[in-house]
Amino acid sequence: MTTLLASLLVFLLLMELLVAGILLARRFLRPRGPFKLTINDTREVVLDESDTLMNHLYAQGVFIPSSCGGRGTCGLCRVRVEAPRQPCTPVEEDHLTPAQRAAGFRLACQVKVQSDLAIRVPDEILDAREREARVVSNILVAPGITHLVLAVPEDFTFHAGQYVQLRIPDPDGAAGVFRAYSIASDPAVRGTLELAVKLVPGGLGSPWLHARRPGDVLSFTGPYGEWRLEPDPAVGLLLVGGGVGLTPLRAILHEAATRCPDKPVHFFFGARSQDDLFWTDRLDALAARLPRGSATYALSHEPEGSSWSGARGFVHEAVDAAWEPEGPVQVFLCGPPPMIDALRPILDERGVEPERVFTDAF
Amino acid sequence: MNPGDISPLTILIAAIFTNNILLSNYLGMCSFIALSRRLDTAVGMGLAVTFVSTFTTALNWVIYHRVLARGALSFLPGGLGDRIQLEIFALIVFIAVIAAFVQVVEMVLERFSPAMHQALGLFLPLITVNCAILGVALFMVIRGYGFFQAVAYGFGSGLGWLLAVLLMAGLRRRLRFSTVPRGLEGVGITLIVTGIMAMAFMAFAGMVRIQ
Ligand SMILES: Cc1cc2nc3c(=O)[nH]c(=O)nc-3n(C[C@H](O)[C@H](O)[C@H](O)COP(=O)(O)OP(=O)(O)OC[C@H]3O[C@@H](n4cnc5c(N)ncnc54)[C@H](O)[C@@H]3O)c2cc1C
Ligand code: FES
Repeated sequence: MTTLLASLLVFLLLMELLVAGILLARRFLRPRGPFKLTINDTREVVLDESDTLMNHLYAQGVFIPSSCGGRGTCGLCRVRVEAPRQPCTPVEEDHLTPAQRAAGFRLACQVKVQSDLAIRVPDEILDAREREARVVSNILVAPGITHLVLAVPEDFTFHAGQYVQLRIPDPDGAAGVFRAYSIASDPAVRGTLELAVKLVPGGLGSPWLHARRPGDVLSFTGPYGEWRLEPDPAVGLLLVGGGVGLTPLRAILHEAATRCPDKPVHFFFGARSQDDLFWTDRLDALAARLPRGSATYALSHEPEGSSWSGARGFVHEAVDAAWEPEGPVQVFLCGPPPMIDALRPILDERGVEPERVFTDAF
Repeated sequence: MNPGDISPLTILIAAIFTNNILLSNYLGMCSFIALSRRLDTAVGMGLAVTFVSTFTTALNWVIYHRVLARGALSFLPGGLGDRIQLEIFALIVFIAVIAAFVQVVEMVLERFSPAMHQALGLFLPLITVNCAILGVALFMVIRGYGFFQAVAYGFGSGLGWLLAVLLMAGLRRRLRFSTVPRGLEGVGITLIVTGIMAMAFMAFAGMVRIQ
């Protein structure tokens, strides 16, 4: 009996020692608040505890974009940290260009607030509010892709290529999480947003959105995103979308057809098979409004000998085979990361300047 | 050969090539699969595993042989030290030591070397649940290593894990563009490739032996 007790005692003592070690280390090593956070020189808040900058900003009602829940994978939560300057983490390096890093940009979800901090966010984000949207329709247009039409307040405006963030209920957290969805509809049309949502099995947001029915109400923030169409008709346009990456490109086609129909516009859409193509009638109609426009659909997994008469193979192969720039050009790429990686050398080869290439991977 | 006689250098080399903790024991698989998706995360995690595995093995060796092992506490009065049995706690103590060590290292780095912390910060918490590190501690006991042998084994196993995860990250870059049969995408094909890689590593088998 004493042996047993003594063994347990020694064991517990060991554990206590470990815990004491951790507590001691924490006592002496962890920085403690309060910290002062200054946003755009105009807003000042005092924070009591050390947490990520992103969590603090959301708690303050500053809705910076974020679609990965702070895991450092979406790269959307960029803010400029003005003081103190800190080097960024390897996670952030993937999402920030050297110029952005030099200017002090960081990903808010990776910044721990451990001292006073002064940051700058675009003014429109400081003004961004959460708004309500009502589901008008929600219809499957291709396997796993739903076309979600939302009625939104008339005062909501956006640029082609921008996205909104929808608040998704989270079973683990009361506040819910946000997911980004690009706007596909015409920026000139007020009061309606069209989105396309691809089902990610096991995901939090997309299955929930697929289950929305007309009349349901959801809330969103935005618009976000720095894509801007160059209005100069002399600057050509190359749009390449893979799968659901088509969404922001449709909005850009709308804007080009309305504002600068004389632009040379080449639009490529990659999908697996004919079943996976969607919105082709609308896209064809848009291309028809652009006298110097073309629309190419490339199918990578269409069965041999099917009725398909268009391009076959991956969409980057179609671009490689059919596209030559006719002067200065602006490029928008949106689709899975391998598609974007495969397109970069093709663009380099044709002398497209990297700063003219806009990409979104999802 | 008596395990006590093997030189630490031999153990180091064996732990990298012939007795690679990942490829021959299939330990540390979950972080291996999760982090071999990209080369830079693979390097970061590999370095972190090497660091933690080296130091926790040393720490665990000391705790095991000075506290837990039979007879280690024989200075206790009344022959109690010779009777109490603490070896059974080894598993749980090792886990706790690894977890505590990682916590403290994280705090020290955060405070004194933000650059290092940023390089490894993401990976450190993942290590607490990396079974390769625990495996190293348990093998060191089973094989009866001395202190320097244990440290060499910990260091070598970390390097071995780093090597395996690096190779896999390289392979997976190519896999991204291949057509993988449905149902084998992602983890499935990775496990199969790991198996083939493990067989390839058997080519090193005759080089050194440590068990
Ligand atoms: C700027 C931007 C614009 C976007 N626009 C659109 C859009 O127009 N339409 C659209 O459908 N989506 C779009 N996305 C992606 C979208 O925000 C979500 O990431 C996606 O819908 C998955 O969310 P989820 O909550 O269903 O899955 P989560 O709960 O986030 O994830 C579940 C699992 O799926 C994995 N996963 C997450 N995202 C993907 C993915 N895209 N492909 C494969 N696996 C994934 C996760 O790693 C996780 O294991 C956009 C993303 C960004 C950053
Ligand atoms: S929230 Fe996605 S990278 Fe920060």
